Amino acid sequence: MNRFKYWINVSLKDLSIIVLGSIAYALFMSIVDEDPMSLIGFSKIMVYFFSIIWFFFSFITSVTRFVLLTNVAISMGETRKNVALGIHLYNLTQFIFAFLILNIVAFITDYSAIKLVTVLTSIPATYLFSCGVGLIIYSNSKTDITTKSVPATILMFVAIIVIFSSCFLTGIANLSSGELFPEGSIVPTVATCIIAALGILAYFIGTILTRKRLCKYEACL
Amino acid sequence: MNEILTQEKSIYIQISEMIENDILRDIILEEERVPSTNELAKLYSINPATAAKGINILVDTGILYKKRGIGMFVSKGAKKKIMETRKEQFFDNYIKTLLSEAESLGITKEELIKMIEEKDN
Amino acid sequence: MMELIECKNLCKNYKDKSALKDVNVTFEKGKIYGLIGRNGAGKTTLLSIMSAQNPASGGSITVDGEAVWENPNALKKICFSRELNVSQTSSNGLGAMKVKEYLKIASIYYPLWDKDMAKKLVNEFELDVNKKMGALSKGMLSMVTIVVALASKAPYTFLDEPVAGLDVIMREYFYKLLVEEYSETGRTFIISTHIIEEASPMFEEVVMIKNGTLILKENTEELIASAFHVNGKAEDVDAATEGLSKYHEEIIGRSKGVTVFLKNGEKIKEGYDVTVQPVNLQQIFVALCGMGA
Repeated sequence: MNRFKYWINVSLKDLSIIVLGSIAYALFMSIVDEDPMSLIGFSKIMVYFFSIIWFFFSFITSVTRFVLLTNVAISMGETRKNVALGIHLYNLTQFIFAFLILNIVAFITDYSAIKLVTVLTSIPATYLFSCGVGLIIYSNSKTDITTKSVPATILMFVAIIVIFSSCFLTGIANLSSGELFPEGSIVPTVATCIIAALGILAYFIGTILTRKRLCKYEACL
Repeated sequence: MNEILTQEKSIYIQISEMIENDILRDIILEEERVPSTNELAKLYSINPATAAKGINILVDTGILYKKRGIGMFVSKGAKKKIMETRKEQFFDNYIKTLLSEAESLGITKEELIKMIEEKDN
Repeated sequence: MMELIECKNLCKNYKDKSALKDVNVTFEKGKIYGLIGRNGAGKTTLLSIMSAQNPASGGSITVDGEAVWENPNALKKICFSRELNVSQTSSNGLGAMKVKEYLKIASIYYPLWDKDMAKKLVNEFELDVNKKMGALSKGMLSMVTIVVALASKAPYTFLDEPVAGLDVIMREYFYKLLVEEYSETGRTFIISTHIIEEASPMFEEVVMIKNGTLILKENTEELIASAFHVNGKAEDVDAATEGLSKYHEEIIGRSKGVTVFLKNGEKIKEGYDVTVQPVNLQQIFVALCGMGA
């Protein structure tokens, strides 16, 4: 197997975590259609948050995965340049497939398709953002992200807060069915775009920092 | 073959002596093939270069000869040659040490000869 | 083009210490080298820098004339199979990886990987490939690194403490495997080990590192043949070894023992009542790198 195919392969295996959580969320949302201020509506929101938490853990998994594969690959003679490429392939694969699968589920469940697409798009946008943050953390870590390094821990907390806030903004705004924002308001769409833009920026910064880090990387298997 | 290596002598010397011992004991006969360098290396867990050095000593002294593409063989008259060489070295290898040890223990030449004669009885 | 690994003026500095100081060494292709030194002397650092797993602070490393750093052409010729630490494997995620996954990754990254040899060795070592790396004993981890090192078929293979945790029977088996592989392929092996005396007959040359500096690189046989231990009455020993390189003097009462190295033409003076004994590689190492050496 080609070494780059391997990174894609691993990414697809890790995908199952996000996909399962997101499918569960989408299915649940498609069945229940309620006023968010009611009990059922409120529990929908809770499910939404839980799937976000689930998918937050998947990004931790991916960072841990990068660290492990980096160590193993470099210890077996891989160049750091190729490791960086592998990480991009990993993230790209996750993003593309997550996006495709979630939107397919949205169409199948046919719950106010457009609304759902917007909501579900916010997940990949948020995911992109978290990838970026993940890379930044990875570029600071040596063996695992639960590291003694203070910057990494702070970044992790920042990431958690930002992810939740962005989900709240995009998700809740969409679910509120007119309560928080008027029907047809562009706020949810704008919020999604902002998160996506931040995501691209974070990813870009994360890539640069990762490249710098890899240059000095000492494989520590 | 199958002796154990000691640290008293260089390994390659021990290899050549082992082969000589086997020739003396008719374990390997004249015109027969001796184990190759790689076979010896594997048997004793030593570097093949060391095994080769040991074999080369025997080639240089005419005990072994090389048949290109096949391996190393015991030369005709090798057994006799080994015995003669060892007879010559007997004094240096054994007698000298015997005499010096006897001297430091105060054993006279006559007592030594008596010990040797008594061994037969 | 010369086929060898060459280190020139190699330095490696960490915040609080200098791990390697101006190391100049050449490893010619097609030999088995023994790399010996105390813990922390710099053996692992040297090997990991030579295989580009660790960047050097100064100096250069070339393999067959090409620099190693970020050079796939050079890196594909090298395999550095290092001691996998059990505690480390559990903390960095490697512990959760199954043996077969690890071997699969090895087959991807080593272009000359010999699948059949890997399979054969796994069977002979009775390794359970479905076990997680973190669940392996120290001995089994060593077996995994040995499988990777041998099956990689890399022209230059480094082994760092390959027999850690293996019992004597497995160690002897490993030496046989090594000699067999070397006889068949002529691959270059550099082996760092603490179990010096067992492994020394395998080494064509020995490289000794002390406190980050290379203190010798010599043909093993010639080195051992030039070293002797002289003991007897202190005055007699001093007289017999006058002018020679002496190490590791030990004195008890009137008796003294010392290890000497004879250079070209030098001899231990005759006529003194001293015992002269040959010395093995391990004893040479202790004489040169032991406490108070």
